[in-house]
Amino acid sequence: MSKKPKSAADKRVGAAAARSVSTKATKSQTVPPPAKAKPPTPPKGVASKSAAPEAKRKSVAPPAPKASLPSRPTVPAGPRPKTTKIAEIAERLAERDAAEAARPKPEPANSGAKAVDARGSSAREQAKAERVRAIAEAATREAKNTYWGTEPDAPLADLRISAAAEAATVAPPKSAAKESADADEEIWSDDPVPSALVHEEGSRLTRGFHGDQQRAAADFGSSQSLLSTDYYFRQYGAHGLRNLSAEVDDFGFDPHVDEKLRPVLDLVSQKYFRVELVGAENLPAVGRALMVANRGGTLPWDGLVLRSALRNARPELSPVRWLAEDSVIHYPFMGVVMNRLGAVRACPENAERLLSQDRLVAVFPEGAQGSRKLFRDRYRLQRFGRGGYVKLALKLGVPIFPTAIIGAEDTNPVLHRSRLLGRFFGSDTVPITATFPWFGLAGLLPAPVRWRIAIGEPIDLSSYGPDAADDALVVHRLNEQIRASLQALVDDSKSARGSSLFG
Amino acid sequence: MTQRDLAGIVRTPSGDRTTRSVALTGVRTFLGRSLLKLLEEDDSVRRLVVIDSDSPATAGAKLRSYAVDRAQPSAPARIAEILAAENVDTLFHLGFLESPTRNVVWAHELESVGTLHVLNACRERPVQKLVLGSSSALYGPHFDNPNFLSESHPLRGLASVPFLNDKIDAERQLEAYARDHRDASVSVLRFAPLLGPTVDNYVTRWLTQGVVPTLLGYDPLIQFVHEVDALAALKLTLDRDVSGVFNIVGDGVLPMSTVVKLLGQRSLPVPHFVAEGVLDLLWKTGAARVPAPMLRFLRYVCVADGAKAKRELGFSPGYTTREAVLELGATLRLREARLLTESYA
Repeated sequence: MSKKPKSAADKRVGAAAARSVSTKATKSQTVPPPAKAKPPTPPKGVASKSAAPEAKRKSVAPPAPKASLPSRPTVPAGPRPKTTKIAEIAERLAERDAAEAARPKPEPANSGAKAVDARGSSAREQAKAERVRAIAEAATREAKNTYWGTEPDAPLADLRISAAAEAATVAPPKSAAKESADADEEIWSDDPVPSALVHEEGSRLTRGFHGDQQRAAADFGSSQSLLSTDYYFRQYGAHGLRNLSAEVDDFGFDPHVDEKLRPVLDLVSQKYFRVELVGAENLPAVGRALMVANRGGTLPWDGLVLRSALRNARPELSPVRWLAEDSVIHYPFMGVVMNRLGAVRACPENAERLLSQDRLVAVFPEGAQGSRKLFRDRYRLQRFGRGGYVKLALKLGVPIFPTAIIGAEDTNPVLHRSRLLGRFFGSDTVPITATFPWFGLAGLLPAPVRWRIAIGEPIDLSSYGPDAADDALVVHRLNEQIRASLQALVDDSKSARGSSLFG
Repeated sequence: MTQRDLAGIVRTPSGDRTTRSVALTGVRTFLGRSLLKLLEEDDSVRRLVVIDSDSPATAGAKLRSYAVDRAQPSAPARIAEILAAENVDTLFHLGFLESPTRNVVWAHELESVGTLHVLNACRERPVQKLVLGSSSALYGPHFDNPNFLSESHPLRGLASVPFLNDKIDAERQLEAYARDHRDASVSVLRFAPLLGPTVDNYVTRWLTQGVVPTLLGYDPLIQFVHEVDALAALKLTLDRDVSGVFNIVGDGVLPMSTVVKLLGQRSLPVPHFVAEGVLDLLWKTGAARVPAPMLRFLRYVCVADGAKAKRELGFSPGYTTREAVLELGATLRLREARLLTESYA
């Protein structure tokens, strides 16, 4: 367990190192031949600024003029003076034409279309300038619009691709933010592709790499946001923090774990349990709220399904935190996972702290009595403890939302609770269901029953005032009232659900 | 006659502020030796009096060191004599063991009886301010702990762990003393486990041994306080006119597994029923640093709520729990590269 992540990380780091060392060597093999009918996706990737960094790198890499250009004899080495990009491309096309026509002296590298115009001495030069302009316009048009539909001819293909990439990158007038985004992308792409070719005024490379970095750093704030996440993973992946966000909240909720398990929970609650949530609009968008629900089921599915259903129905709400009894929260593995997903040990101090932080809290006042219910007692509310939640609601002025959870008590129909087996396993009792313990742990799989969660109208206790929390009689009376209203909601929801398995 | 200014710092008229005489016990503990160095540079302290069986490793111009064995029956009279002779107004009682020891008899004499003798000396010759350095571990890891333990929560320790129970006894004695001496400022600082570049205790040793044993299936939330913040809290009790019990903790909590990973260590998850037997054996043979019952710290949450210290003491920790862990991790890397050699003095 401790060895595995390290070796995997090593492999990854090693792979990354190998990739960066042999970029050029592998590129010539991996890059598809430029003359293919459907070239890779440079302009698209470059144009969309919000794409993932890996996608960006991939999309920038394939045109690879760096790899293909040295084979072209007409490209001069060294930095070029300021010329417009299109003119430069056109000029190169012209050079190619000139070579084909076996002219003795092609145009010198540093003369653009304007320079040709300014010179304009002979008719030959004029004609050539015209041609250059026409080719340039055609290239631009092609790059901008019709590039995908055309079949580029073989020798020009890579040049045109790079031209298209350039046009897509450079053509729209850039705002500062866009430029910095470009710079960011450029710095962290494996090869600074098109910019090696083009030196336009105002282009980032004329200002130099370091100036760019500084500017990007100034724009993005910290080095953490400047460097890609991928870089951190490559570099520091050995710490094995990939699967954890290194920060949890006060009560152990880990957003990263929550996000990772979300598809699983959604699958269970939406597809397997086919949960139906009604009354979610009753919950306030902000501020504290206390949901009081019936507890049921041998395994604590209710909190998880409630979380999943509420997140899908009201994504803007803060994650619901539900209070779980000790036997759940201290159970090996399960307790840890439940805690990272939002369960908190049920006790008055925790509930008070959660509510005073203005969170959405779900309590199951039946407690362990609720989870011990037999199948024949399902959806009959047990006693509501000492009414600790009523005291809290009175003290903090929190509205109470009765919440009926139909389905949890059908998942594992407990026919009998065996004290004898309980003594053997060191627990109070062991539930006997139709499948457990006969089929081992597989017998604990929940039945695919339909769920219905109904959130009732809020019960406002603020008229009693915070002092009523110390009045045992008031607390008891309110406790019984809330229990009765929840029982009514449970009964209604149960009949509204209809058949537990079908429908 | 003292009065408080807006910042809560004690100002006494007629320049009385610079005539403070501070006594310390436990100068060989991390907090004791660090506070000694801190107060040596503090202009508001005129005299530093060390009352300990050990003499401090550093000496400054203000220091007066008295060798006293606090466990001896003659200790109260001797300490009272010193307090009177040096005109001590503030006493920091920090003489508690930082790590468990197998010599439980000696530990009991030192912590429980030693505190009794110190308090008896203070009864004989009262001081204005008495500060006890304690630990949030005294709440004990229990399955029914709330996620955040307030100062009013009972100290339950762990059954048959004298390392915790002797300190609880010392706190109870101090509570009784505070009841009898309402005019004196008596405060208790319950520190979360100290973490930092130079502190060395059983927690830092456990976290930095390369392979960190944990309990399979359990991943409790834990909390630390950076050593600098702990010292700042001690200094605050000296500067401000407060009394009461305060939890001194860093902000935030981290799961145990995250702490181990942040430190670049490997965790070795062991089933708890195996771990207890093995650790018990190791403890009895002298190979382990902690007794077996303390494994419960790896199983149940024991996290203190630092809100009261922020509110009443004005303590605002500079390091969160996470930052304290990262600081220790950075120190580890420097140690590995032999760029850092600490001398605990």
